[in-house]
Amino acid sequence: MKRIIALLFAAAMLTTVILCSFTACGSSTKQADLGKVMTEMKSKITNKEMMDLSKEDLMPNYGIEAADVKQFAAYVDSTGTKGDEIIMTEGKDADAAKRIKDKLDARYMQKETEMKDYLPAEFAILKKCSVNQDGNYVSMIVSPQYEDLLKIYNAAIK
Amino acid sequence: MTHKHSQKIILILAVAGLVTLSACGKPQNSASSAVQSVVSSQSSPQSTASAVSSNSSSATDSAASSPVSASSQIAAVFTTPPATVVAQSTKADPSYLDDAVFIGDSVSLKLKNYVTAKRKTDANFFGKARFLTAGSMGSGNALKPLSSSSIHPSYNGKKALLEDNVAAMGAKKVYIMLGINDIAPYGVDDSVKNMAKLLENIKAKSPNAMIFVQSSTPMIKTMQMTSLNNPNLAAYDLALSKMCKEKGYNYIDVASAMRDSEGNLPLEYCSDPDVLGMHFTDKACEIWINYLLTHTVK
Repeated sequence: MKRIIALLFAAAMLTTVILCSFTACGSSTKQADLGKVMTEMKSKITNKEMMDLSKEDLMPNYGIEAADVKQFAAYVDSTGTKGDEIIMTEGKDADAAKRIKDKLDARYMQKETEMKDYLPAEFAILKKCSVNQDGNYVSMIVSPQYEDLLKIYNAAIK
Repeated sequence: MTHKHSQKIILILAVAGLVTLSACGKPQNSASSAVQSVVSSQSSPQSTASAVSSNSSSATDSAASSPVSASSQIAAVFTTPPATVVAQSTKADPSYLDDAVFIGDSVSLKLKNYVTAKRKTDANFFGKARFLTAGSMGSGNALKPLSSSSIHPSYNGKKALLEDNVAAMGAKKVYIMLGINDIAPYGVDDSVKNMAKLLENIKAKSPNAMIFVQSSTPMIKTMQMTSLNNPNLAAYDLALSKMCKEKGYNYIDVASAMRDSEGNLPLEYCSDPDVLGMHFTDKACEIWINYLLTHTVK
């Protein structure tokens, strides 16, 4: 009897591990087209002085290896004086997503450092925003419209 | 509270923040030291700037409610020629900048963004020049030790001291423009000393790199502050050119292409006329790039 219970317990554990690997421990995601998500965001964004980034910009700007990225979309302020910066990525696997998360965390911290005593209004906006990871999707959305843009993002990936 | 009042308060907070940020750096100056250091060199060629600065000084740097007066005096400062300057040359191919790195603050960050956007349709725009830019960077805070909270730019995700990133990039030409975040906390003289020290550090790790020191650029007429204002920027540029002459660096007088007849940044070149009055539009970036490519050294 004990052996049966032990086997059942082991089977339950294995099932949990398998499910966890598929759902990134509770944060299940659905397949999203980040380009389309960005298009929807752009229709709401009020800052009209922003520009797209391309794959070649990922390494110099963020230190993100292009090979780690399955898909991405990035739209950033072009003036040099506003903090608006939206980057959404899907890592090619969990390890890649972790590396991307580390890079975007570092980028967020750098923005904090640069704005804290220099652009207090932009810093206040930044502090309401965050880097998010859901499964292999990793994003940094910095915008005065953060809540609205996050809703669009979450609706697409969750 | 009106929108205009809010903007002024934000501006004052920003300047106060800059002063606080730099207060733990190299030899501390009081908030009024920017003015004092200029006043102390009144016998030098920038005496006109000194006079204007001391007339408009107060304990802390703040936005003036009206432009600095005595425009004829101010204009005289801007007509004082730099001690040395890279002369005009025939326009170089953008590939001249293939081995260049541009170091700068938020003014140069705009140039980086402009170039990045242009390269979407022309991969060779501005050559293969790369950038080490960080908002609020100055030579003063660039000299501070590297830490997670230090203001040093990252390249390829690696945050490092400027001299280390320049060396890692293997740059053969180093263009640097800093100063707008230095003058208020450090004053003109110490800002130039900090720049000289920073360039020494860069040269020590990249001995074969050519150094191009770019002048700081002016602000619009209506955004002059007690310490950070066009006369002090002009005095800083003049002192910078003297340092370049003494040390053998190339001095690029970008400001000369960015001034109107009174020495102010023209409104059409300014992207933030209601905020700081010193950042560039796309048109100003075009002027800047043209100036760089027509002031080259073989």
